Amino acid sequence: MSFPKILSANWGVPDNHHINVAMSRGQYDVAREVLGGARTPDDITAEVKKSGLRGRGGAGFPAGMKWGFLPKNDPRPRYLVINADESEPGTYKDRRILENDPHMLIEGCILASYAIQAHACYIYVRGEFWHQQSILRQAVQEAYHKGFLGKNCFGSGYHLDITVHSGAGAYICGEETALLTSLEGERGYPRLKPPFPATHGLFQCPTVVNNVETIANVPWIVRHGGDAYSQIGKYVVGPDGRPQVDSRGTRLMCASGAINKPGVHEIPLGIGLMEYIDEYCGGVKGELKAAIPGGSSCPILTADEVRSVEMTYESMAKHGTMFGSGGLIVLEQQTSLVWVLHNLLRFYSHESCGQCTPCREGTDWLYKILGRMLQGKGTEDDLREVLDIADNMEGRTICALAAAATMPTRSYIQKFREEFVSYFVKGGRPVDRRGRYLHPVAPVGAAV
Amino acid sequence: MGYSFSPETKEKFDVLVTRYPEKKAALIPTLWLAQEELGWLPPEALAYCAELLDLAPSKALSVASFYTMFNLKPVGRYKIEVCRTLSCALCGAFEILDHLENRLGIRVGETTPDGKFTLMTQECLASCGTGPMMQVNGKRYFESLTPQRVDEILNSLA
Amino acid sequence: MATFSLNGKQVEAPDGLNLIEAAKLHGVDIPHYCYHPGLSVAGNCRMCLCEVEGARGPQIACGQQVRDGLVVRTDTPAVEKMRRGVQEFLLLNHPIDCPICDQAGECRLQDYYMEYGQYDNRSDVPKIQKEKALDIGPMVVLDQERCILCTRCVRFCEEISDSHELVVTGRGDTSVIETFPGKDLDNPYSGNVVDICPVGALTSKDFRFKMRVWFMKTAKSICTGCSRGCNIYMDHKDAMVYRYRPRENACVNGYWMSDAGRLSYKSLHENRLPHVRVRGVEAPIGDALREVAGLLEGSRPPGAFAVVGSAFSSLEANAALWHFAEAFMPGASRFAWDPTPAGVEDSFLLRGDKSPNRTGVQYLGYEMSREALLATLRSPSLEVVWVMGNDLAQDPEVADALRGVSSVVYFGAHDNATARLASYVFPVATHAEQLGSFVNFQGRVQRFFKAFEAPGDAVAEYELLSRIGQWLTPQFGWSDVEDVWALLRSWRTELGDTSWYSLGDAGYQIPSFGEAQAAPKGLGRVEALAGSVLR
Repeated sequence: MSFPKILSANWGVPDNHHINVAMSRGQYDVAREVLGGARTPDDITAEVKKSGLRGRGGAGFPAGMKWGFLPKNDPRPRYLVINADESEPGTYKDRRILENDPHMLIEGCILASYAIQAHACYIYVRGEFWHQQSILRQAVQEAYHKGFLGKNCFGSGYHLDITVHSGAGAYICGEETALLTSLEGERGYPRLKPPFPATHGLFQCPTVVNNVETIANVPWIVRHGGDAYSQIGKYVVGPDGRPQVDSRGTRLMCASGAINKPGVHEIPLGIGLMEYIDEYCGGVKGELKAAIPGGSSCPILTADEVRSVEMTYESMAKHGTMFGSGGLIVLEQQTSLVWVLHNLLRFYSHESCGQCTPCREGTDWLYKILGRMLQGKGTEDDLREVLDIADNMEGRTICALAAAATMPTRSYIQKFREEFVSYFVKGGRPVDRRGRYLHPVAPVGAAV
Repeated sequence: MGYSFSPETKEKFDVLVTRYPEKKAALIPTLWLAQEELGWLPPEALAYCAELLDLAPSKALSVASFYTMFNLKPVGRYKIEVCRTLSCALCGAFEILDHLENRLGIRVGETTPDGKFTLMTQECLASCGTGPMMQVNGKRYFESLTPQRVDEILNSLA
Repeated sequence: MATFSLNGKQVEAPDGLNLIEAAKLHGVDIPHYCYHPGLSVAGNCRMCLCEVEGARGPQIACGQQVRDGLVVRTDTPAVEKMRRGVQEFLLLNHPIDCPICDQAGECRLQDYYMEYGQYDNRSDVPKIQKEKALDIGPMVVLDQERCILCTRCVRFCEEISDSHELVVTGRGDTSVIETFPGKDLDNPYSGNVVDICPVGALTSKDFRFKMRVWFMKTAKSICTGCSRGCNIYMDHKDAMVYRYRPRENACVNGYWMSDAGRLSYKSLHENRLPHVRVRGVEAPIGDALREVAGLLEGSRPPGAFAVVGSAFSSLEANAALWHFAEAFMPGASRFAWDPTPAGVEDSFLLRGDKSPNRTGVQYLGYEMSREALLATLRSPSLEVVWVMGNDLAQDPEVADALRGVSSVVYFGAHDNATARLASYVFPVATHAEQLGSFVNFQGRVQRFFKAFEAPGDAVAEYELLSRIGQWLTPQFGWSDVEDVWALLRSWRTELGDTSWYSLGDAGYQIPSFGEAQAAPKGLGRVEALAGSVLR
């Protein structure tokens, strides 16, 4: 399928992170025009709404609509906050934008800030991205020196400050309210909602929080028009006049696991997941067993499901999973899913902020039970118990971290129950350090 | 007060604190400055950072202890953190970890007797396509590791 | 007011009130740990989850404000399962060391376990080890393993005491409550964290291991540590007070009390005077009463009598003394100066005036001047001085002057310098041993109730005065506090038709003092909203 590369077109261009290189191919032209008076803020929001761009951080909420939630005629300052706390296991795409095209993000920040009339924008970058932060800070400095940021952006009189803010190691800060709390100098605890960030966000002011990739799309959308963007991807209107499929544009997929060519690829939404694996990732390494389509929080897909699912928000939902943050992890037949789940539950236990009881206690409890199972000390009761604990956690907490642990847990057990049951023997089933069965097994069947 | 910023760091602090409408928001960046100077955050540094921002020292402790990158205990000259989350684990993170333990003669969480290396594990560092990987001192990523590559890297760390 | 549906019934509550309080108004108790009406809403324990129509998933009652049309269910099997789930999570890493835990008997984990226990114990994974019996300050001991991380104490230190000692450190299930190295939990209100801790994580150094709570009885009382008059529960057993705990009063102390007040119970039992003494020798009370009554017989020259009331005695005691003087001591001067120095005052609860009833004695009209008192005591015409509950002799000059008076009658609960120089010493009941009231600095009459019997000969002051008076006038005296209150009403028409027994647990604001002076800031966030509810 032919489609324009929106986000990754210039990756690999030498010195692309320098402003002069970026400007030489037109970066900042749109922002200059817009701030120069060519477009009103509402125009920009309307354009983004028209594009159908959905948030690329995980939840897939329509970006333009999110901007529209900010209260009108509110005297308080407004903030744009960019979520660059990329930390969902399997996801490493925002990192590539920061490394390869920071000015695209900065121009996006300028346009989005203007659209929501924010005069301060914070880019919250995970602390481990020290290298990416240096590139981004350098790029922001360049934009200041050119007069694109500061008191008088592009000589337009518009005032915008962008601050690169470093996190310090906490997955939960990718949750938008936790990110705001952290940005305010606190422990990264998610907040009770309502109130929502649109009315009480950063410093209790109206705030939009967008993912890096989401915002990086904005310059292209404003330059080429929302219509052009919405031509890409898949959009199907149902007989009731409402969209049945609303997955427009391109998105960055991150592939890892049992594939031949791991990497970040820009794809047009709507292609088949198997098509993506075969055409972009060099195919499955070994025999396909399952895949996690959008980061570790997403329920797992069986091999059959991988073959039938399309890369749209809707098709993913229909298959009981989510598009999430685009982190595809492919698993091959010899990999133990009990080991995989154990690994992920350790992650969630480690990353639970500890605020809500069910998540704080439940993630670690599940992890410990899975540990027991791995050693062959599990029973059918344990499986029941795991599902019941998951039930007591999910939807019972302030944020979705508990669900991020329980949704996959449930899906692994439901779809691969036999494999879990096969562990209920003395010593379990030995695996190597990569989670591969030491004694090769026949392919495990799909859903029971 | 046993600790204060060097003049250069203080200058950086004075700039960063202007970037936020509320002083408190500068806490994490301020803690970073202190850790940059000391390599870790002893109580004196926490108290100093808190005082700069008109906060109770307990606030600095509470916040710093939430984030895994802040060292509340001294670490070796090189803090090596190996990602062990799924994508890296699938392609050999634990083999790398075993290798590091053998090579350094320490277990995860320990520091070599000469104070040179501290070995830790870390959760997903967004290198999923280039695993296994390790990060040194919270800064440099070393990706697509093999035991041989690890040896080269260790040898290159003076 | 908002009308909403609670478990299928249409009920009313103030608009915007949180659901836990609103449900309580209608007899529905929603279990909770982290919610406290005096603190901000944290919403972390998840015990108060309930079903709200139209909401995405279960909602926490503490974070849910009542509004018209809200439809809530707290009684469904699903809600019960959520509570059982949370309860089980909380116990997963809890040591369950109830037999050696001071909180046993007043522990929410225990209380809710009765209703929401899982019983079938499947929490068989190794528990996380944390620190135990940490000495974190002069008042409080911390057990991190028992802690359920509700953060009430953290919020108290942030929002109420503004002292920030307690914080959460770490993350996830290894989070703990901690202090900064070298910065103990040491503020004038630190003991409150023990009261608000719903489990046995924070216990009182003073109370630890002294008494099982279920053996104690409780009386509603007033703290006598200063003129704030914090409302308290007085927990006691076998005529011993073991502790004070704050009792909610939105107009006076919110949910809180000071550490100084909290420990002030100790002085109750120190140097008690159980027996009557006449000229330094124990004497039968009957004889002594008759002898002092004799002091009032016959005619004396003007200036022969003086009485000294006390800001440390009840309003009723002082009123009775005033009336007694009017009846039997013609021309008696009436003073209530005392030598207690002013103490620490702050902008929250602590008052510099360390007496509980100075406003009360002033209201009655006692003369408060030391100079006038000294002049009277030194006057050669003074023959009898009647001192009640006031250790005047702590002041050396006053002591000297007292020594010059031929008859000093002393009413007091404690042996002290004044008792030692008095000719007649009558033991009286403390505020733990009788009914009465104090008028706090705001002009609020606050009642205290009898917890146990007074020792030995000790009785209430008005009772003692009644018995002495009856030697002179058989009908004289009062049969109970209500009688004394009637006397007050006869003096102060503004008291209208009030009665002692109906003054109310939140106290009675004397009209002439105006509206209650502004309650201190930070009494608790919810009180503005729930003002009507708390009363």
